[in-house]
Amino acid sequence: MNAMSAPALRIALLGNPNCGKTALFNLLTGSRQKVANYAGVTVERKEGLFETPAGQRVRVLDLPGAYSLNPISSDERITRDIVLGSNAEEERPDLLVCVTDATNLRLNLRLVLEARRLGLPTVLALNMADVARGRGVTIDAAALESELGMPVVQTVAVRRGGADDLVRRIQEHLSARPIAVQPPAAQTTDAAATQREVRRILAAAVREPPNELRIDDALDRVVMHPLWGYVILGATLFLMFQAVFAWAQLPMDAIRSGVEAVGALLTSALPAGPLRSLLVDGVVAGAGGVLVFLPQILILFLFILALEDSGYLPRAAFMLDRLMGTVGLSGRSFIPLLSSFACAVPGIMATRHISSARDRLTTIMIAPLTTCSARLPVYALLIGAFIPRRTVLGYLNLQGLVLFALYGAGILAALAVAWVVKISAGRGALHPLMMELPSYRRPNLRNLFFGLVERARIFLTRVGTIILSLSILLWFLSSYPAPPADAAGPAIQYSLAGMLGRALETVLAPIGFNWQISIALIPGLAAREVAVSALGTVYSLSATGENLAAQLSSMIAQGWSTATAFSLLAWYVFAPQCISTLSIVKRETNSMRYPLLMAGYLFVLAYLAAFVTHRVALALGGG
Amino acid sequence: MQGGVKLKHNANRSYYCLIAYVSPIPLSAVPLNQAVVVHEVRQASDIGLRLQELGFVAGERLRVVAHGFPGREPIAVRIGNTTFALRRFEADQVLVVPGSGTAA
Repeated sequence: MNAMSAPALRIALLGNPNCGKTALFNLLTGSRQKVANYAGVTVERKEGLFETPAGQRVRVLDLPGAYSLNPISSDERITRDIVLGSNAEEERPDLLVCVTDATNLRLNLRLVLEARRLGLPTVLALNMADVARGRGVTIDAAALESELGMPVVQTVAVRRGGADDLVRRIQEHLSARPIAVQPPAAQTTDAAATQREVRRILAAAVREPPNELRIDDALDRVVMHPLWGYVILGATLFLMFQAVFAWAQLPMDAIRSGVEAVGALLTSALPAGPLRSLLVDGVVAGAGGVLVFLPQILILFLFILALEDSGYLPRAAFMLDRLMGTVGLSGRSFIPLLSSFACAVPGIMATRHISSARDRLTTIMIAPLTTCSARLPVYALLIGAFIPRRTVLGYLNLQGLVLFALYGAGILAALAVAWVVKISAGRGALHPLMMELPSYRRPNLRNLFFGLVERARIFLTRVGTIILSLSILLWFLSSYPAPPADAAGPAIQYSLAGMLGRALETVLAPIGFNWQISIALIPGLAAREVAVSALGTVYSLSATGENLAAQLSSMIAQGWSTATAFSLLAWYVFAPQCISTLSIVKRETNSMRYPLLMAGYLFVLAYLAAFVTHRVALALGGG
Repeated sequence: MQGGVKLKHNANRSYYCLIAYVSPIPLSAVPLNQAVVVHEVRQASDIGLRLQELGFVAGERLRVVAHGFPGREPIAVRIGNTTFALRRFEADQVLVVPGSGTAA
């Protein structure tokens, strides 16, 4: 058979979570991988490609981690369906590679026994073989082969060449020595009996010294201590977010000035007109404004990936589980929600580290309720204009107090929505955790690198496609039709966005929004803080930056009622209008349903909150 | 149930342990760092089955290595070379008896 024209062999990596499966996948496929989602679920689909030394192409599917083929999560359901060949979109693999942690065969081998019943050619990979050897574990591969009836190879996923034996065995399977399939007879399905079988095989093939987890024990005693554990957690989170803001400042400034330089270059190079306006105000300002977040995203994920790889992240989740459990989430939701205070986009991307699909979805849905930094310019403007600079209760600053209340309102709203989801899902009662706290290990640089590249790619793809096209659309809406020559007001008033804003005003008047606010909300779709500069445009102010804020502040302090200002503040606690967030939700959930649901519920909550605030403020004499 | 003969051996232990020895207690009630042995896993739910698949089978040695806060939840349980975090209701599916155990 001609190797070049033969269709690629399809292999799938099956294994428990934390067995180093993804590291092995990275080692096998390098940069030739594709990450997407399985349709309709928030489960990642990872596929890659490699060539055997003989030039045969092999497609590798990194199946979602599973402890069992009796699924209890959507990850495990996908895995089971694929290996059974009952997944509608995924073809059944030709060959199964059971990846196991060689230091923990006691846990890992059970799934191998289950996989043996599938009737697929199967190879057992003893991963982390080096660590096992270092701990004094001796594995008799020949005995294991004859007990299991499948080839056994050793792999070290974190070392170059660590998968050579596996690749060689796959090559042999293709050429001279096909792997025989197990007869399905005489295999028990009883859980306890299977465990006895695991122990029997281990006794026959593996010798390990007792109790080698002394370092883990010592670390766990501190890391999960009821006092020191929280001190360490607090310090870690502090360092992480300090880094996100401090380290990112320089590259963010560089990107910002780069974007401005490109804008200035285009402004001087092109004649004034629609093309220049499109490029400068639409493309560069729109996509560039979101691109600025890339350094923050990379630094945040550097921390998350390193903490996950080291084994600390599951322990942090352990420490926070009870707290998050009161609203039906798990400790895993904490860091994504905390990240959302910077921006909901990285927060939502960070939900990939939540193992339960249901928790992940809830976390995605409530992430935009935490007050992201893009809301600050709006809060600062309104608070500066309407809240007197006054000291209350001796030493508290009233303006700061209001800002604190707005953050608090966002957190409370997030918790309330999570709680409502918990109740309405009928799971008010019991929600399992069963989270493995894997052994501590040193983070692997290759894994960190691939993880970061993948996140950067997802983010840049979003910026380059959806966010760019919507920025152009919004630019068009705000620029056309052009104002008549004798126009008195600002140009945007005559544009489609202006007309839409006027139309929106009929909807938004009951919550106290005037037409200027309604118009400003439309370009504000691109990013929440754009609403400030859009207000500047509507009020025909020519200043920019801090001068704009100062002029605008005095302008609205005179022009708006207090009730209107408070109502807009309440609106911004929910602020449904952020297409970057909605677009990343579509990417992460692989469906239009959840972004639409999110926009819908946020809009309803924003409207209700603004309405109540407006009415109450009016009743208290804030008209 | 395990015989009264063994009670003599443990006569110097606390009353609590005495009771525990006579009737198995749920894993959620086990104090920190005390060695226990799985007596039985309740089969009623998916959770019971999954716990067995993770290795919680009769005769297996366990040790609670940490409790969460507040309410001593979740519970981190060392089993073999692995540690699992369980919520209380999950840990309640596992009934244990004290002892360093002789199981492999």
